[in-house]
Amino acid sequence: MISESTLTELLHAAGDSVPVPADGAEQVRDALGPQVAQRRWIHRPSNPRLLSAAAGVVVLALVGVGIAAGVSSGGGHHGQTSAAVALAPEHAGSAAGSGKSDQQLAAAPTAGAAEAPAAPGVVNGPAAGSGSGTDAVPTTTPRVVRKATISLQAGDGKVPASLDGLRGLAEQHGGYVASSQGSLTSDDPTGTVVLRVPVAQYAQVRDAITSGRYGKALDVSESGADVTSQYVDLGARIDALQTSRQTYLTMLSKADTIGDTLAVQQRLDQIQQQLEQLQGQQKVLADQSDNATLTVSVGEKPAAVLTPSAGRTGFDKAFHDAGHRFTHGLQRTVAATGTALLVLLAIAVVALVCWVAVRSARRRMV
Amino acid sequence: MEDLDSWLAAGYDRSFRTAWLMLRNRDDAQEVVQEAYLRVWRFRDSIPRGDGRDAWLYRVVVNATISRLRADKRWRGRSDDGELTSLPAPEQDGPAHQAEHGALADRVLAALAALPETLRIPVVLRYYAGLSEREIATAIRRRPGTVKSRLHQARVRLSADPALAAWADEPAAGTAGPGGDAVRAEASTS
Repeated sequence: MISESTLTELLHAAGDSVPVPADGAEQVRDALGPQVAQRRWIHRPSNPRLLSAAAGVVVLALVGVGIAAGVSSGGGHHGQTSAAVALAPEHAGSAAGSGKSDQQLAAAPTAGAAEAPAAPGVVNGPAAGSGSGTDAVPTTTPRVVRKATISLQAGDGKVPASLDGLRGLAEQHGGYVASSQGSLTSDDPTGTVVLRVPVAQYAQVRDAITSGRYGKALDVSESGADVTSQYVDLGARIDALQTSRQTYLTMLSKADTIGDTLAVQQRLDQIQQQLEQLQGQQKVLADQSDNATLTVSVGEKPAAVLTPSAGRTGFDKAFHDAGHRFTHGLQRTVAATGTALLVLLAIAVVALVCWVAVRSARRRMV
Repeated sequence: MEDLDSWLAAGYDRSFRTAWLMLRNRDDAQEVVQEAYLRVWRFRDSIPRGDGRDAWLYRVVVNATISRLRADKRWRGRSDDGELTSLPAPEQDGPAHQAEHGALADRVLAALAALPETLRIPVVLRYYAGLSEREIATAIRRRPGTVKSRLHQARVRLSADPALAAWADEPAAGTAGPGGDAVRAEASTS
């Protein structure tokens, strides 16, 4: 059998005869240069650190944008009191139409300053592409969801004309009729229309409705919810996800193994899904804040046009409705059991009369 | 950085040959050595001083090669304790190389290639890389007794190989190879 020493000599003789790549050392020297990190993960057949690095980048991006969003949201809160000012008539006539909400949504995170006047809620600042960054105080146009509920008492037979006039009023100010319902053929004709008008036209439309042209204003209630912080937060999260998506797309182009490709692609799908959800939420907020909602009820009699919870929202409306239904339920219960109570009362009276008569007869017999 | 660069360049030949003997593939060996050197660069603060750093570098290369073999097994679905299959024939480096290095290297490499991987790796680590049986056991995650058994089995197989029978103290085939002394002298001087 071959001895260990002989085998060692043979293996060294054979091994030393193996030709070494002439440029092998140079290739390693190149790899030790500035691109060491990049070459490492490219050459690995399966590299979980690739995804770890990507996750780190995403987390850093989210944290960074989150901080920026926090700053922007703070500005939004400070601007809450000025939200009403922004809705003042001096803004009337601006081009903030309802049909632009989608474009505003798409352009919101990166919209330039040129589009800002026509896009309420668009974040202007360095991240929005306004430019140099030296004048980089982030400013946010407040986004307020405006709602109003108005009850009108029209004259006899004037409810249909009043409703038609309200529809025309909405179209005249660039709005539209979201819904309309009425009972015009009954003895007490009533109708309700829901108008959507641009926020810039809100004050004018409200004043026109309550001016008496369409009926006497019996009740006017308004509400405004500042959604600026929510809108800005959504925009920041969308920006972060778009940055992450771009990062993963870059990594996808550099992934050299099936495992890396699938992992990156899976993460990309998740990001895309989250992105679409956030964009949908931002779209709803943009529509609600771009267009004010005015619910107008018209009737000939005051009682007929006043709805129990008109102008109420949230818990206030819920408690109000519950109280109303409780009272209404008691009335119905009394109404339903009234006959039975009357019969029982009659039977009791007859029984009492009989009892008294029988008792009197017994006393006479005694 | 300059010292590190020159030191790694000086050790490249031996590192590459060790990897090649284990992997039997030029590209794989080149990539493994590069991977090992990148590990060294990454942990350059841990490089020992003095003579020990050459042995440390060698261990890093061996570990990288073992890792590559394990990764290849996962990809191919092969088992280390599976059927003892022979590797493909060694790479042909062309007539110029064969004329330069003679028949000895080719015969040894052919015999080595005929060994299954479970035997070839311990042989390379023990008789070319110079690792102890315990170190080999740690590297290939087997018990020292298993390594000892495999080394013995490998020597038996190599002794039975007609190409190496001439170097056996007790020839398995009972015949000494023609010109055995001359080749042994060649092996000693190379």
